[in-house]
Amino acid sequence: MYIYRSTIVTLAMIMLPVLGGMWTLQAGILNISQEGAMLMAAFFAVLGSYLFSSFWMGLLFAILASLVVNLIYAFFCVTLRANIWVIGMALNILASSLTILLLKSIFGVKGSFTSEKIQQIPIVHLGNLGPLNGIFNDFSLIVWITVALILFFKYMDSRTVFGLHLKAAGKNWKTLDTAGISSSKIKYESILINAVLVGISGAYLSIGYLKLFNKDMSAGRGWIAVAAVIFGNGNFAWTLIVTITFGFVDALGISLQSSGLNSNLTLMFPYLAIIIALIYQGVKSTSKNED
Amino acid sequence: MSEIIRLESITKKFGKVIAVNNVNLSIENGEIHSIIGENGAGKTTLMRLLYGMYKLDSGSMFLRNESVRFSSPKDAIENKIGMVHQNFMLIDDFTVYENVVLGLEPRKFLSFDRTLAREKVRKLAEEYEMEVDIDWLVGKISVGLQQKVEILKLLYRNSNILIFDEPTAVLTPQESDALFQIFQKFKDSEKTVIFISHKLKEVKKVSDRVSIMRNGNLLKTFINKNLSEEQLAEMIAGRKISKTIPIRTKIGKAILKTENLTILGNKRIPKVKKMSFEVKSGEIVGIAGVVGNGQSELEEAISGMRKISSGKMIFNGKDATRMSVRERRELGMVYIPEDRIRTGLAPLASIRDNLVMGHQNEKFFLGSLEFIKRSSVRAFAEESVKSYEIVCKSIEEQVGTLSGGNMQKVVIAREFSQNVSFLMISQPTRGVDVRGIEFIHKKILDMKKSGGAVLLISADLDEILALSDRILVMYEGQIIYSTSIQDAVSKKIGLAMLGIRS
Repeated sequence: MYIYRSTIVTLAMIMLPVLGGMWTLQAGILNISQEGAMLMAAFFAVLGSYLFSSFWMGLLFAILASLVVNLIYAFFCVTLRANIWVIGMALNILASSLTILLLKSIFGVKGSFTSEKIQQIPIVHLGNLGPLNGIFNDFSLIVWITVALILFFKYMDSRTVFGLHLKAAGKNWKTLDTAGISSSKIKYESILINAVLVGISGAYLSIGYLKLFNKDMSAGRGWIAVAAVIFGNGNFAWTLIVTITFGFVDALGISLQSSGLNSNLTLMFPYLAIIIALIYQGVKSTSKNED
Repeated sequence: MSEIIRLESITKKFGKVIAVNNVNLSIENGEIHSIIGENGAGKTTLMRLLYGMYKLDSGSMFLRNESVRFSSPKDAIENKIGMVHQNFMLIDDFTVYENVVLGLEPRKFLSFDRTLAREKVRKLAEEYEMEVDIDWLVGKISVGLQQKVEILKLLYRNSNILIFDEPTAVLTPQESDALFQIFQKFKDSEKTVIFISHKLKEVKKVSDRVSIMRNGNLLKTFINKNLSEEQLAEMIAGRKISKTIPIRTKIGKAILKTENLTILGNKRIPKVKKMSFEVKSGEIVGIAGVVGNGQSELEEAISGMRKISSGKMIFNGKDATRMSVRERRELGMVYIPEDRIRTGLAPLASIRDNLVMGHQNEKFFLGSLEFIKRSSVRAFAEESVKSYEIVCKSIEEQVGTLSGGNMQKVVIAREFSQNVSFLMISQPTRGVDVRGIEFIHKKILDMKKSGGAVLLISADLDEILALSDRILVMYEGQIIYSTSIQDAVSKKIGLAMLGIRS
C-alpha cells in the first residue's frame, strides 16, 4: 500500500509534463525544456502562494512562469526554427540558476525556502470508503485533476478536429498549411497547453505535499517525462505504460531508501530504467530500418 | 464566356532573382487553360501566387472582376480556388477520407464527425467514378490513386478554379487519360482548369488555350487549335528543337548480364524477384514501370549501393555480384541516379569538388606523392562548366545554391567525363526542361553510338519509346512484359505497367 500511494504521488508529477510533451510531439515539437519550466513553476508557486496566502495564486504564478519558458522555447523552435537542443538546454540551465538567484534576492535565503504563510494545494478527503480508503482517499487535488486530464486528452487526441490538426501539423505541416490551417498556430497552441500542464506539475512539486522550494527540486523529473515521451513516440497507451513504470521505479527507489539501501544507489533507479527502455527501443528500431 | 481571373503586371522576386516578371494573364470561366514553359520559367511560382502561398511584390489580381489579395491559401480556398501540387500535399498516415476533409472537417459539437466525413467523401468519389477505398491509408495506395485523393480534396471544397501543377509527371498513359477525362467533366460542369505541364502532346490534347512562359515572362496566350506541337516547342525554348532520331547501331556482346537477381527492399521483403536480363553494347534497354515496382532497388543493386541477396551479375565478363561501387566504376560503369541532388551531389561542396568526385584517383588529377593536383582539377572543372553550359558565378560556388537544372548538369558532366562502357540512368528527364531533355537524350544516344550499353529506367513512357531498342516492363519486382521497339505498342506497355498481361 505504501508503494502504491507513493507511486501515485510521484506519478502525477511526471504524468502532467508527459501529457503536455506528448501533445507537442504530436504537433511535431519535442519539448525538452520541461525540466526548466517545471522548476520555474515550482519556485513561482511558492512565491504566489506566499505573497497571497492562497494556493490558487500559487497555481496561477506557476502557470505563468511555465508559460514564459514555453513561449521562449516555441519562439525559437517554431518561429525561428532553431535547434531544439541548444535552446532547450539553455532554458534548463537558466531555470536552475535563476531560481537560486531569485531565492537569494527575494527571500534572502540560500538553497531552500519555507514559510507558514504558504498555502498548500488541498488534499481531497472523500469520506469513509471502508477498504478503499487507502486506494482513493487523501490524495492531492492535482492527482484527480491529472486523472481527469488523461481522459480529456484521450478524447481530444482521437476524437476531435483539433487532434487531427495536431497530428497533421506534426506529420506534414505543409499539407496542413495548404489546406488553409496555419500549422504554426497549431504548434503554438500545443505549446500553450503544455505550459499549463507543466505549470500545474511544478506547483504540485513545491506546494502539493510540501510548503517548500528547494534548489533544483525537480531533480530530473522533467527529463524523465521527456524520456517517456520519446519512448512512447506518439502512442498514447505505450506512453502511459512507460510513464507508470518510471513513476513506480522512482517511488520504489525512495521507499527502498527508507528501508536502509544506500540513497545514492536508489536515486539512480529511474534513470537506469530510462536507459534500459531507450536501449530496447533503439535496438528495435535499428533492426527494423536495416537494409 | 466571361473572364474569371485577371492578373495584371504581377511580379515576384526571391532575393535578387525575378521569378515572375510583369505577367498579365486572363483566364475565362469554364476553359481548360494550359501554362507551358521550361523549368524555372515561373509557372509554379505564378500558380502559388494565385493560391496565396506567396505574396505578390507588385501587381494586382482580379477574381470575377473584383480585386483580391490573398495572404494565405485559406483566402484562396474561400474564393473556391484549389490546387493539386506537384509534390502531393497528403499525410501518409491518414486515411483517404481524413486527407480529403482536412481543414474543413464536419463537426458534431467539439468532435470530428467521422461518420459524416466518410459519407460525404464516399459520395463524391462515386459521383466522379473514382474507385478508391476511403478507409485506406494514403501512404499505402498508388501514386495515381493519391492524385485522385488530391482531386477529391478540391471537389470536397467545391472549388471552381482547379490548378494542376505537372499532374501527369507520375502517371501511366492510362492514368493520364483518365485524368483528362476528369478535366472534361470539370469543364462540363463549368469549372475552370489551369493545367501546368511541359509535355507538349498533353497540352495539345486537352487545352482550350495555351499560355507560354519563358524566364519569368508570359510571352503570349494562344488558342490551342491554331498551333502545332512543333511551333509550341520552338516558342517554349525560343529556338528550333531538333527531335531525337533513333539510330541503328551494331549490337555487340553483352556488357551487363543478370541471372535470377533477387534484391531485398528496406523492409527486408524482396522488391526484385529473380530478374534475368542482358544489356548489350550499342543497345539501349528501357525499363518502364510505375514508380515503386522495384526499379530503385534494382538500380541501387546494379550500381553496388545495395546488396544482391541472391542471383548473379556479370559485368564486362567478370562476376560483379559482390564488387564494391569503386570496382564497378573502374570497370566502366556509370550511374546517374534518380535523385541526382541527394544521391548525386554534395550540396555544400563547391562545383569544382563535385565535378571531380569519383575521379580523384585518376592519374590526371594526381601530382607528386599522390596528392591531388589543384591546377588539373581547376582546368577540368573550368572546361566542364564551359562545355556543359553550367550557369554559375565561379567554380568555387556551392552546388546547393545552383538552380535545379544546373545541378543536373553538374552530375551529368561528371559522369559522362569518365571512360564508360555501361551507363545506367534513372528518370533522366524528370523535372528537366525541353532544352535539357534534348541535351540529355543526345548524350544517351552518343553513348550508344560509341558502342556503350545503356540501361534506361524511366516512368515516362514517351521517353522510353523515343530512346530504347528493347523495352522491359517491371511490375512488382519482375519483368512482366518485354518487347523490341519495332513491335512496341504503347497501349500494351501501359497495361503491363498496371500489371495486366495481354
